[in-house]
Amino acid sequence: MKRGSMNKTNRNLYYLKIFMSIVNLLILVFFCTVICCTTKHINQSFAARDFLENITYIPMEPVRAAVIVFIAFFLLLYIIEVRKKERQKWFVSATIYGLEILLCLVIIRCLYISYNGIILLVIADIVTSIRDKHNRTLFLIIMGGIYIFADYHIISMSTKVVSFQEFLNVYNTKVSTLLIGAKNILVSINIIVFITYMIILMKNQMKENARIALLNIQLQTANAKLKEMNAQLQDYAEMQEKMGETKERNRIAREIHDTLGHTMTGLSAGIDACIALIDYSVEETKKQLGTISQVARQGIKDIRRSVNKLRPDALEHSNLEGALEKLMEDTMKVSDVFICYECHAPTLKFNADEEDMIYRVVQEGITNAIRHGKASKIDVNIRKENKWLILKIEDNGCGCKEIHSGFGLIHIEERIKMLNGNVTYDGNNGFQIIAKIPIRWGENYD
Amino acid sequence: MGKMAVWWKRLVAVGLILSIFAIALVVNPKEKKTVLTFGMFAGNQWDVPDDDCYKIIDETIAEFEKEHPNVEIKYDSGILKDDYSEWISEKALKGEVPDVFMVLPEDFNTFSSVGVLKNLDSLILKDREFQKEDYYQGSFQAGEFEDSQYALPYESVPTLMFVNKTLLKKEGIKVPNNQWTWNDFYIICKQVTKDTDGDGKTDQFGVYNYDWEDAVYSNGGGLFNKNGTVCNLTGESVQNAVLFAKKIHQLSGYQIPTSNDFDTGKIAFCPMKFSEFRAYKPYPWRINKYFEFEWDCIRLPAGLDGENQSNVDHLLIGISNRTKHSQLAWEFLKKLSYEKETQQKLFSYSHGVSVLKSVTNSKTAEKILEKDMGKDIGVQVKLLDDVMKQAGVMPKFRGYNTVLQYIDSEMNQIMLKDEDFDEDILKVKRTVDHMLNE
Repeated sequence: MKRGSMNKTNRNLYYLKIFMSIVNLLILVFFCTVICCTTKHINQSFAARDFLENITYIPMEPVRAAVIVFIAFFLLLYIIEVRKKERQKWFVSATIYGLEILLCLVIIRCLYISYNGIILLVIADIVTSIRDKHNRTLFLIIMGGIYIFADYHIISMSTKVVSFQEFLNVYNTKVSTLLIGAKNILVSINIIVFITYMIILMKNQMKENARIALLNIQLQTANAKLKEMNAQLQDYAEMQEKMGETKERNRIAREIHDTLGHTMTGLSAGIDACIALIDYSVEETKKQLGTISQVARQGIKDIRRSVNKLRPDALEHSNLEGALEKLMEDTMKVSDVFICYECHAPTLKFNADEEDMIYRVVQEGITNAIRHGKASKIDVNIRKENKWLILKIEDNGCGCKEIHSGFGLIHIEERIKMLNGNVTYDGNNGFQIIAKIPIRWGENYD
Repeated sequence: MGKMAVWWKRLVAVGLILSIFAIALVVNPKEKKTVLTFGMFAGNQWDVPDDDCYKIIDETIAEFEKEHPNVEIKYDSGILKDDYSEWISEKALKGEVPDVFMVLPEDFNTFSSVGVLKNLDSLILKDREFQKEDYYQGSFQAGEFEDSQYALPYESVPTLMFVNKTLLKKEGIKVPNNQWTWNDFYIICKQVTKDTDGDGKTDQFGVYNYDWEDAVYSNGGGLFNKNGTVCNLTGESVQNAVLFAKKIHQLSGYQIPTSNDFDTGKIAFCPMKFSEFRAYKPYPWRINKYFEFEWDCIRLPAGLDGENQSNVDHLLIGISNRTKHSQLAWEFLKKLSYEKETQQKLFSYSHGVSVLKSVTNSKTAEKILEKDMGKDIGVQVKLLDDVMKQAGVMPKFRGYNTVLQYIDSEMNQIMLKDEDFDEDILKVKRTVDHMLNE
């Protein structure tokens, strides 16, 4: 619908431009006719010598001047017609601008600077056809300058040119007044058409501006709504997380209650029985203790099973190497950080708690690098040195001068200490974590 | 907008094509030979009978065409002097001004100002052979407008003083020499102005046609300043000249001499153009006009502040500002104006004086004059040379002729009136100054 209305105004502008061209053509025809006829009239009435006496400078040969004027005019129309089609290279368009100015000057010169309205036609074309803002301004300034200074009285101060009035002086007052009147009417029509053109163009522009403003408001409303929704979504996510945590806590509590509670209850009851029994029968006590020991072992098994249940999802479904790769891939997918992973250890098959720890350390390290270090590249390096596994996480982020152990780092430290390892940090050039962990390579716990 | 746009585009294209074809209207088919056109009028500028007016031109054209085999020079014959200004002006409006053409003095200012005549400065500068010192200064400067040269002189005609020798002899007066003054002039005029047959009317006069301008020339006064912005009418030398002319006129009282008195030998002096002298002195005209008395020419009397100077008329030739062959036109113009052989012919076939010093002051010229006029004549080459050397330079500006005409008519009125001389002349000066700066 909008497009339709735009086309309509554009069409109006186009018709006006054609009308303006026709008016200009009429004016040029008028001038050329008057000049040609006057010259003929002068020659027929043998007034040539008197005419020369009263003019400033000899006019051009009238027919030649007329031919030049019309060639220049139609070339100008041709340029105006062609230019709107496509964008040209800068030197082509520069040549065209130059040619346009030149043609205008030629027309003005050949009409003895008595008509400069042809420039209005060019200006009307410039404001619609030239898209480039700087070019348009420059060109408008040049054309405006020509329009202002292409005045007979100004030019005649420095150059000798015959004036249109001097042609008309040949006739009696009545005829010359009539001709001047005709000329003024034509010139006025041209100016009125030009003004109408400009008004329509302005209205067009205003309409366009209003449309853009409306769109802007719509966009702003949509943005605000989106923001609100986003906040809601965040709230929801937080809630979800909390719910997950509670669920996890409940699960842990249940596990502890189910396994540890059960075993401990059994153990305490068994030990109480042993305390009572030991005075009566050592043998019975030993038997009882054997049972207790079995219960304790069963308990350990149960606890291990429970811990297994609390392991990270990734490790539960695949081995450590796969889990690490997945972790990194996922991280790279959600943030624009590049993670380089290198592993120089023969196999990554460790005990569950060790694998857990390594996974958690890497996860924490990457999280820290992204969150605090704002890093764009992270190197994760795992290698074996004798009985040690050396885990190095380096990033190119901003690092930190003083290492104040936040929660994450304490966690890492604690975990590694549990495995009798140690950890060092360096925050001077990016951030670097080096963890040394004694590994029971290939040895299984049970 | 589809249909309309298409039609509009077609219209623009058709217009463009038509305009381009219209070039054919303007551009003439090329001719093999370069054609140079020449514009001249029949007869001569000084209205004396002239049968050989085309002779010099025809001969010069033939020579020029011989030197430049690819050039043809055409001219329209039979244009009268009175129609010539209009004819050239019409050609100028049509853009068909002859490449080289004669310019009448009254047209020169206008034609150079409105751009009919080509500015010759660059051509002169380029031409190393051309030395303007070869011309009489006055003649050369006649073609100058606003410090630029627009035409070259072809022929000059100084004004001389006709002397009726028979009348002077009868009155027992010696023919004055060439250094005579206003005083001598006045005394002789007073002496000869009388009533010879006793009918109460003056029937013998001192001078005919001596007007205030002649007096101004010989009193060293210029009417205008160089740029033509101020007129010097109230200057002492001009006022004295006007007063002297008035005094001379008053000698005969209310009786004004007529041309018949002059023809019948009743007037002692009359300013006369050299062309007239040249035309009427030799045979066959000598038996037709002024045959009842002996006569001769001398220089004009010198004023209080001036010399025996008089007006010199010049016939100029210029080049069209729109010529396509400016170098050829210049060559032809030089052939007419600057070449000694051509200029030499002026003494044989025309009635003027050559504008070249070396030609006027030559033995050949002397011989021709002697042969045509006889030996005992006062007008010798020496006199002509002196007169030409002294020729003053007229200020040139547009409207010079109009202003001069106005001054002349006002002056003639003032000279008839007896009182209010100073006020009247001041009034004229104010009006003229106003006209000059309009």
